[in-house]
Amino acid sequence: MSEDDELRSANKTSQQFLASLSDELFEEHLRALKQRIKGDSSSGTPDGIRLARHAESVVRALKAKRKNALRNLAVTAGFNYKKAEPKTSRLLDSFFPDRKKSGWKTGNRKSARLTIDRFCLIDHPAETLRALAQIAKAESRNFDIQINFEMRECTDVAAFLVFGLMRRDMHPVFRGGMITKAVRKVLQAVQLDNFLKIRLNPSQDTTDLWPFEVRTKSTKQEIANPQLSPQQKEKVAVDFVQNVQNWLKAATELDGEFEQLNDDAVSELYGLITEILDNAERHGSTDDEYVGGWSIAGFMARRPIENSNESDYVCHVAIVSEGTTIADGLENPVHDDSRKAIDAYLGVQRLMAKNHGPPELLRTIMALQPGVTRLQTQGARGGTGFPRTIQWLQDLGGGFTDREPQMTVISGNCCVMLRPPYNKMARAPGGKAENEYIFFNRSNEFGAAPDPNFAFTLEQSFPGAIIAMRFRLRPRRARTRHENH
Amino acid sequence: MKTIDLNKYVGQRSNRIYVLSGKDRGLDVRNALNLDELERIEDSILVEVPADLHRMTPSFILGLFSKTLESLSSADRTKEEVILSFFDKYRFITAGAPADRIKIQIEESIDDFFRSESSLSDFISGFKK
Repeated sequence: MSEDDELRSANKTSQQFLASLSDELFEEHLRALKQRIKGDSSSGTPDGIRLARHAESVVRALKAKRKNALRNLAVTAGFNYKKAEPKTSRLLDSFFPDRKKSGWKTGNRKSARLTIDRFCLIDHPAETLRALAQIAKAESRNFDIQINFEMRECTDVAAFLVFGLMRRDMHPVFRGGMITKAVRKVLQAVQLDNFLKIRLNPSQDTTDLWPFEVRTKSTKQEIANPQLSPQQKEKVAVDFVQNVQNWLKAATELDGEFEQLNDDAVSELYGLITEILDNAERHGSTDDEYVGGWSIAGFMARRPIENSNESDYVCHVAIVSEGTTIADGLENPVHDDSRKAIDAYLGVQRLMAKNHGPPELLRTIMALQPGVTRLQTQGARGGTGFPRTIQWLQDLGGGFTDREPQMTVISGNCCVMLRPPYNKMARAPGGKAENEYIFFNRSNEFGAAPDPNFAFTLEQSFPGAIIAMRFRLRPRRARTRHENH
Repeated sequence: MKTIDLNKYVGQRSNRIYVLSGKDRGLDVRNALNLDELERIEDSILVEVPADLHRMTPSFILGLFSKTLESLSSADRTKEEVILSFFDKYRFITAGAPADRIKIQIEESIDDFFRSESSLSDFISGFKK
């Protein structure tokens, strides 16, 4: 093909293709074109000069075509930055506090392309929140956003739940992107594609995946409504238990070694899920008139174990609630003894522990301890949600030496990661024999600082609470809490 | 003996649930059943528990009955005496048979009612047994 032919062909590049390129890729595309033509045009001959001019005009035409295509794309999406205001969003404001400052209506917004290869709040909370903050910032400062999710597999749904909550509050600024097949499969099965408002090519492959489809409750239910009919959290608990039973059944059918939940375990799980969601509704609200909102989703994946004929049945569950952070909720607890207990912990940490972290981190750790609760409930022993969740994880998925259950809790800018060696409630030196705690230090001491690798603060802050967990079904045993004692 | 029926709070068919949860829901059900008044005029109240109900959470139970427990408690009564009085006042049945599973859950919750603060005492004593 002659240079002239090549330039003519380049000039016919479709608007759609040009619009799909990020700024960098487009520049690269032009550079490559110029390089191919440059050989002759730099010769100084009349033909070379003509070719150079031809090439410049094609480059100008391509730039104009792309600009026009991108403008059309934005108009098609019904969004014009100069006319639209940022939507009200505590979540986006929290991830990018300068969101509403000058810059929103800037005329020189450029396209953004984000490549994300770690999107897992269980294992990489800091990196994942940073990626989410980048997305929030891109909405505020870029013309449009292309995101490429390059994870080899989906190891957490909590990050996508948070992304979905962000999407709810964002303008339509997304311009395609790439998602690996394995991640796409999970997103579609869990129905996170609808939640994220993205269109995916249908995945035909549904093997080795058992979803618990996303469920959400908005914050719009008024507190004043009497709760006489079945509540959404109760229906979700029923569905969730059914799902866990299905997961165990599926694993049994394929590998024949997994026990089912017994009646006690079913009761326990009903109670646990409703209690967590009830806490989200009661404690999550930042408004006295409405309940706090929540989202829950999960899936089980069958993953072959390397150098073995066996498979792992890996379950992922995520619960995200928006509203008050755990630490803020416990700053001034109405519950007297909880306040005294928190004051005692903060006091002893200040006095005895070096590098104990900020008060909000210590209050978040206190929320995991039995009996600690924000609200005074006459006679009710509150503050059992986290200890029971930790226990349940151990009951269902504990006992693997190298693959223990993992849970990450993120609230505000605080993060605690429950995994060995800090994955179980245990007796604490000086505490009563019947009480168990988790203080994130080797000796589980009340007065020792929490290990900063497992309890730390983050650059970003999530206005609410995220509980993300992963556990493997344990062959032969799915013990209940009662059987443990 | 007056009978109250919890079946109407668990929905039907596809809307059926097997768990009653939440302190506020317990309080709302208490008010809807007018238990304050019933407890005043009735010696004993029969509670019809849905046969397929798996779980009443502690918060629901205490939303529903903490006022009852307060009225039955006094400085000179032991926990065991209060529990006995409670199950004299309320009899739980499932389609005619005793509702054992729910009764155990209620007993556990009453137990919590009396030891609500014990797990925090370690903090308050500075972890010195």
